[in-house]
Amino acid sequence: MFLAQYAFRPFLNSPPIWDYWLLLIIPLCLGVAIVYKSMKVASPRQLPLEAISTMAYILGAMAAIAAAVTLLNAII
Amino acid sequence: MDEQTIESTRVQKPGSPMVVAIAGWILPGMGYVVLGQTWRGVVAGTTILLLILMGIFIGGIRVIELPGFDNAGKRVVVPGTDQWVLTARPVPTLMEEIWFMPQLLNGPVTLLAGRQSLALTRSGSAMKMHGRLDDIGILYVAIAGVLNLIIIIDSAHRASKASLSETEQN
Repeated sequence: MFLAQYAFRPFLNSPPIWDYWLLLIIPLCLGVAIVYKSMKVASPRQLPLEAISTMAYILGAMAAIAAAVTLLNAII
Repeated sequence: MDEQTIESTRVQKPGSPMVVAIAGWILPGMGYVVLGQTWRGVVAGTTILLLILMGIFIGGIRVIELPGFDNAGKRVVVPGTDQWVLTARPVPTLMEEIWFMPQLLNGPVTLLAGRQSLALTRSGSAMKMHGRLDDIGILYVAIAGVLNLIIIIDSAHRASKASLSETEQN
């Protein structure tokens, strides 16, 4: 009974994606990139390419920081 | 004059920066729509609303929790009195639910979701999830709020530039 309350119900309880939580960074970065680029670009046609490249930059920068911190942690 | 300035000049209607900012808070992206930049408002607003929806999907409706209520959805009162903690001690109460502040930047949509969260908590339908997914859901809605603040500032800035250039022309 108690556990049934925690079973997946859309928008009430979390879906069973605990093992893939790291992938949830991708739609978040895409959302940030779309909103940011929608302010910057002059025409909607430029938006998809600009947003995808910004998302790639964000993910690349975060991966680089994660690698640097992991390395630092291993050294110290 | 660069391409962006030409585009802005072409479609921008003059509007009070305050009106544009309030419109943007009431519904994400509405500030741009008021300015006549419909596609910008629709893209930014829809993306922000989708981020809120995704946050609620990932962590459950209780990623949005109104301050001043306990885990059963009852009003928390100051011990020994009938005073609600949110009115008696607003700052410490808000500090306990600090994520609600950036979430509130999304406007009435957060308040409506918070009201729904409270109703479902009281009826026992929505459980508070714990762990990473709850944190990520909270973060999604909070980041959507911060993004909404950024586009509110941008649209209000565009409105002030438009009214300034209209004043100069007159």
